[in-house]
Amino acid sequence: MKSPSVWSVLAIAVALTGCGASGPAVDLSGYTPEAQSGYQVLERRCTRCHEIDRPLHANVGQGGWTSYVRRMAKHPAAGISTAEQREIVKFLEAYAAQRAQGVTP
Amino acid sequence: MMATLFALTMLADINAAGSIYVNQPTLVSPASEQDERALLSDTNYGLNAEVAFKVVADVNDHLSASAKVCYGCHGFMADMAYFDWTMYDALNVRAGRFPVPFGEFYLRHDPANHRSATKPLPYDMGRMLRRTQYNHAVMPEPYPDNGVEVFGTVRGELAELSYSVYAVSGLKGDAISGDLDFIRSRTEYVADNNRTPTVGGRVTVSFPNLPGNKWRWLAFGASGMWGKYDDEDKLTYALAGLDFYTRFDTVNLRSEVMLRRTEIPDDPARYQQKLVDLYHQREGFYVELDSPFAKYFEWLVRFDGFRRAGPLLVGSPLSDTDSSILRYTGGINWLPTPGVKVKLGVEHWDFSEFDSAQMVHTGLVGTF
Repeated sequence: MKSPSVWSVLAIAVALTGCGASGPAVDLSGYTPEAQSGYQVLERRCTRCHEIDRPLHANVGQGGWTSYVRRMAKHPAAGISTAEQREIVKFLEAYAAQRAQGVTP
Repeated sequence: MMATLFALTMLADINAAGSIYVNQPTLVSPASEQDERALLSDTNYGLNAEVAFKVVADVNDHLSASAKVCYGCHGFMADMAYFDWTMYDALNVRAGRFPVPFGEFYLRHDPANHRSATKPLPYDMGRMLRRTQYNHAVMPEPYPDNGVEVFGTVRGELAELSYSVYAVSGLKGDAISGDLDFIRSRTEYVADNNRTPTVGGRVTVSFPNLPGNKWRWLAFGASGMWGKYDDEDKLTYALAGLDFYTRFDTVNLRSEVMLRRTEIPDDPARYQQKLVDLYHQREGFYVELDSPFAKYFEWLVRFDGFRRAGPLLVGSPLSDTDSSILRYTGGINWLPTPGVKVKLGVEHWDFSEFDSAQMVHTGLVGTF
């Protein structure tokens, strides 16, 4: 079989860059503006290393996210400032509260 | 160490997480029985699985402990067992058994975190074709080791600088093969095989807040490592690498280039005299683009390669002192429900001194 050229791989890649995500993984309509903003930061920062799914169904209860997010932010080049950590925690705590109430987010 | 970690977890908030990855590789290119044996010799060709389970305990704002066990090619392993002492964002101390920071991939090595069905070629281990001929690629990943690390991040308005310096036991090998032995490096995990620790460091400069809405991130990294690998404490190895990451909208571009220079014994009788040198060098690179799309799917394309250059042992299955592999990968992942991902990857392998081959990898990842 003939080897694909670097250019053909690049062409496929360029074509695929048009295929982005269609929208947030969570219906944000029931969240406060602060929590919605926190989701945007979560999506922007955390998905460098893992899918957004991982924190959304992680085994962390209400009140547990502050230390968890602080630890994640310690990873080199995580790019999560102290202010952004607080924003992410606001969303994840709100999300955990909805899950605790049995609301399917 | 495990007793200390256990005691700490009794006093702390505990989080547990893990992943399970089941992979089925299939050779789809035609090959004679003899070629197929050479291609797949030590490669994980049957259904294979990796399991990881991690527990993290936050003792207080300044102290946390982590332990991770994994099951893979080499049975159950203590993949991590360390504590972190945080003084400031810019100054943390980590001690125990931890993932050695080298390159961009080491934080994403869990199959639940990297989007491809296989690892980039410079880091490939059990899924590398012709593994016996090449004796692995550049470095193993994951690479957990025992030691001490000092690391931290300094954040500015536009950029942030992260650093890490460490001393660990180091990768192990022997003078007979004149090379590292990744399996031995992982399985002899209590004591170093020689008296010289491996030292290294990593620095990254990130620009996480770029102007505009689409272009989201830019990061550059450099890593280096030096140590001795043989039992007699004579033979050195050195690793160096550069990495790059950026994101446009949801599309990630990740890239690394690296090399390992490994000293060999000064014993001409054991080496083919096609090339006379006291080192062999392994180089590798990858460029990957990946992104989620249509809510339940992800795509990726990857171009990676590996080159081995230097003297060959008498009887080596390689014939060229400069031998290389290029690989082209395309993949689609399906995320039917949170915590479950189905991976499909198609790979074209180009060998400089063997016939090319095509592989299909199917995988199922579960996370919790």
